[in-house]
Amino acid sequence: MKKEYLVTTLAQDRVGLLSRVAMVFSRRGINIERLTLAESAMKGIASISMVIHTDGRTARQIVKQIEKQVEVLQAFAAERPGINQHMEKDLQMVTY
Amino acid sequence: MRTCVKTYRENKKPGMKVTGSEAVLLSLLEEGVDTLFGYPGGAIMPFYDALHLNDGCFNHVLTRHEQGAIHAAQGYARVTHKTGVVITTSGPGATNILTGLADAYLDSTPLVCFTGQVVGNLIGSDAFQETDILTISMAVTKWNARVNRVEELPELIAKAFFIARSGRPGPVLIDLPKDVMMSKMAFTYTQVQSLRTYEPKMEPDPDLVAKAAQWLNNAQKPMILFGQGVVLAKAEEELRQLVEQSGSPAAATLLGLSALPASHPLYKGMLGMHGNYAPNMKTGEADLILAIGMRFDDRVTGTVSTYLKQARIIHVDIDPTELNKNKEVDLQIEADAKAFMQRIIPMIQPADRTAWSDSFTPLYEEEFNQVIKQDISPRSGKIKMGEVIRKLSAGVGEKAILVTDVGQHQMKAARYFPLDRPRTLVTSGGLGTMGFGLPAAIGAQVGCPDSTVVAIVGDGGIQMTIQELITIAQEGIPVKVVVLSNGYLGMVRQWQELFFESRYASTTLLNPDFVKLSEACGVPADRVEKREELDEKIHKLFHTPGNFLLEVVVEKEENVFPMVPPGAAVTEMILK
Repeated sequence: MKKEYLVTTLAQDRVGLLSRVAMVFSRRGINIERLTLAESAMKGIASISMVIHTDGRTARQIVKQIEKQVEVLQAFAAERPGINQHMEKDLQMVTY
Repeated sequence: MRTCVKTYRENKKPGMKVTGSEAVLLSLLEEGVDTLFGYPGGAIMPFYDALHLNDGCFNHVLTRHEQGAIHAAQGYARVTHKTGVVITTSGPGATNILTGLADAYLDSTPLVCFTGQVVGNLIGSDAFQETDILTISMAVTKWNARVNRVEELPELIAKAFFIARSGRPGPVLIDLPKDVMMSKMAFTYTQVQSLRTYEPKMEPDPDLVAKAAQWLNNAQKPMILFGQGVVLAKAEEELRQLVEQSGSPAAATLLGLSALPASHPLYKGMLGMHGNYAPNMKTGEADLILAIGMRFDDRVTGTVSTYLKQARIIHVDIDPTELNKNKEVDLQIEADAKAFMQRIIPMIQPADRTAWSDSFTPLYEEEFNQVIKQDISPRSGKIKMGEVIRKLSAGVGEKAILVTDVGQHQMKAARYFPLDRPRTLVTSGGLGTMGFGLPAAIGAQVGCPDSTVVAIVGDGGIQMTIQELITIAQEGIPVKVVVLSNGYLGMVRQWQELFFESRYASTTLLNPDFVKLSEACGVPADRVEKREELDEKIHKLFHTPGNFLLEVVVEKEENVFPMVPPGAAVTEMILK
């Protein structure tokens, strides 16, 4: 079943980063409905947040495929609602 | 004449003043590269000029098409464990390597490809031979980058080589604007050993290894499925130990072939659509599957929903995206195949699983009687692909490397050319690239000059990259090319016969005279149509010094069996 996911990526900022991350979604025909990109609290590390609709299995695969990109430090997906128990990695709290 | 390579070799002084082109050469030297495959053109000319000025320092193989260059580099990398290096110009030179990049990406082949680019201030202006190769190649490279300032060159090249060869290997592309190659810099090189955002996990989690060992020790009917991850990790010896210690029957994916000697009693054959009957059927009976360095490709699993339903599955792979991707498993272990096996082997209790292993034999006999016997020793009719391949494998001698193209002959070669030495198969697995074989054989032969490289290709595939025959002649590459010629795009025709009511849509080929064509390129050639002459012609192929092309005219409408029909479970494999 398709649900709304917030996919967050922390990555070393460089030319082409957004394309490489977006490619993981476009390849599967998934539309990025909302997107923010900003420098994180850590210098040189960008934080990209994307909202998409997909199923849980695809969301998990997407997270891994984003993390496979060389520049990416970490990615995770949070499902809405009830984000906390569905965090892929319990490293960060996300308010959404 | 400036010969920067010699100067640098003699006096490795940090900060030596060089041009960007020379910096590329010195960086290659630092990475231990001595062989390049490429094709010059406008934007890459400064590099070729520097290469020319350093004549003799690198072996450059000039192919006749950039696709040939990248497939040759793939063949080279696959047999040597080195990183293949490709040089092309901008625009069409760059786009012509895309198929090779995609092939290397799927088949985990380490490559560093340098593409020329128009000068920096013209980028984005649709300049002559400008193409945005970084964006175009993004989906088929492990990593890519453009060198914007000459000072960045050594660091980016070091990064490129590290990324290409580490973890799950793959292709990397470096885009070199012409002005960067012509600018001056102070050269200092440091190899990259780690990156902040990229750390392949080599060592398995010890708790998971212990659990895997316990499961394997307790299993009644375990099976080990292995793929190219074993070859890439140089873990063939560990695989043999693990198989013997556990007494587990083992089966290979197409790219896993040669990781365990074909003659090993516990080796049960190839998995997948045209693999062997016994290992496919027995995956439906095993109680434990230990999958190492393979990715449960759809050609291996058949219908995935019914695959391995009854078994507990342990999946070991260095690429975490492969774990739980195609097949949900019970235990995922992210690790290098060698590291994993080194840890688990001491925990495996020696077990006698002879009865289980022997239970594969009747299925093998069934396959032998219904398929193999007719394939390799037919008594009448036209020559069959299988018998040619058996005779080639018997006649080639000990130091054989098998290279194939894609299609029916590829499956027949995988089935009937037993490989006992590691890293002796070069074939396009994941992408299934027709035209791969001939250029890949060039690279394999350059990488292993003492081996006998046999390129078995179809009459369709060879025509996709046939211009590389002249490369073989110019470079004096002693590769033995065997064209199995049936006048069809055989595998597509087989599917048309079986699943499209024999409507042979656009699969009939009018072939050139391969013998004349080969001879016109300076590669001696011969043709055989009669079974009685086959031995003699194969003898001629192997005993003519240097390169040779043998066209074998085979039965027109032969099919590859056994087969897992599309949409079926592997245990529904058919023998005819």
